[in-house]
Amino acid sequence: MSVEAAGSGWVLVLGFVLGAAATYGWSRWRETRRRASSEAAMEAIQVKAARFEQAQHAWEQFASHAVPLMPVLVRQLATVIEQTECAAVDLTGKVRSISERARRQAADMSRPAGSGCSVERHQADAEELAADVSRIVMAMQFQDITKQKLEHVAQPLAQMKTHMESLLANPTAPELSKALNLLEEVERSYTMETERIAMAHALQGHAQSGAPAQATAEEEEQSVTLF
Amino acid sequence: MSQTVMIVDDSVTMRDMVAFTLTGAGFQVVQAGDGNEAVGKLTSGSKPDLVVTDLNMPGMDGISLIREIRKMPTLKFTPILMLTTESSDDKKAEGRAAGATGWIVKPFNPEQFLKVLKKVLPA
Repeated sequence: MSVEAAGSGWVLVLGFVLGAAATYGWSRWRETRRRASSEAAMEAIQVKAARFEQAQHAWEQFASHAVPLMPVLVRQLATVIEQTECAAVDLTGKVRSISERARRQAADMSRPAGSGCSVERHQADAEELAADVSRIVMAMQFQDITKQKLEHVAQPLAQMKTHMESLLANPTAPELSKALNLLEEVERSYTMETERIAMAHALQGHAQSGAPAQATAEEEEQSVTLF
Repeated sequence: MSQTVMIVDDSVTMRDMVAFTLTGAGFQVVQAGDGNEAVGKLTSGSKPDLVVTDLNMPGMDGISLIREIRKMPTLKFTPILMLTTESSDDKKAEGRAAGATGWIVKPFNPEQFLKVLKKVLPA
C-alpha cells in the first residue's frame, strides 16, 4: 500500500467520524431545542389553563349569585304589576261611586222642594264622598311606592351589568374572584315589609306574590308610631 | 290663624297628596323636594308648626334633616313626623334618636294622618 493510499484512507475515516459527530451533535441540538420548545409550550398551556380556570371560577361565582336573585327580582316586578292594578281598580271603583252619587244628587235637585230628600241622606252622601276621596288619596300613593320597588330592582341589575362588563374585560382580575353578596345587598336595600315578604316567598318557591292586599283598619293603625 | 306644615319628599305625587289632605283640613303648606331645600327654606325664615318628611331622598335624607332641624334653636321643639315606606324597627329607632316625634308608614290614610297631626301639633 502506498503512502498516498493510506493517507486518503485516513482522510475518509476522519471524514466519516466528523460527519457522524456532526450528525449526532445536530440531532442532540435539535432534540434539546424540541424538548425546550415543548416544555415552553406546556408551560404556556398550563398558564392558559390556570387563567381559564380562574375565569371560569369568576363566572361561576357570579352565576351562582345572580341565578337565585332572578326569581326575587321577577317576584318584585310581579308585586309592582299587582299593586298598580290594585290601585287602578280602587281608583276606578271610587270614581264610579262618586259619579253615581253625583248623578243621584242631580236627580234629587231636579225634584220639587220637599219631595222627600232628607238632610240625613245628604249627610250620608257627604260622608261617603269623604271616605271615597280618602281611598283615592291612598291609592294615588302607589306611584311613590312602586317607584321605590322598581328602583330596588334596577339597582342590582345595574350592579350585575357592571360586574359582567368587568368579567368580559378581564375575567382573571383578582377583585372579581371575591365573593359577591347580591342577595344580601338586595335585602339590605329593601325598605318595605312587602318587599321582604316577596323576597322570602321567591326564595322558598312559593306561588304567592306577597303583594299587599287592601290594608285593614288594624294594619293602618299599626302604621303609625309616636315616640 | 291656620297652622303651617312643611312637607319634605322627593316624590311630587306624595307632596301633592299630603298637601291636598292638609289644605283640605285648613292647614297652610310649604313644600321641599329634599333635606337641603328644606334646610334652605327653614334658614331663610320659614317657621312651620310641624314638619313631615320622607326618609330616603337624594341630597339630604330625612334623618340628617331632623338632626339639622334639631340644631336650630327656634325649631328645637317643633314636631317632626317621618312619612316613609321604611318600616323596620332599626330605622324607626334611628329616627327617634335623631329627634323624630313620630313615624308613619306609607301609604297614609288621610283621616288617620290628620288625627296624628292634631295629636302632635301644639294647641
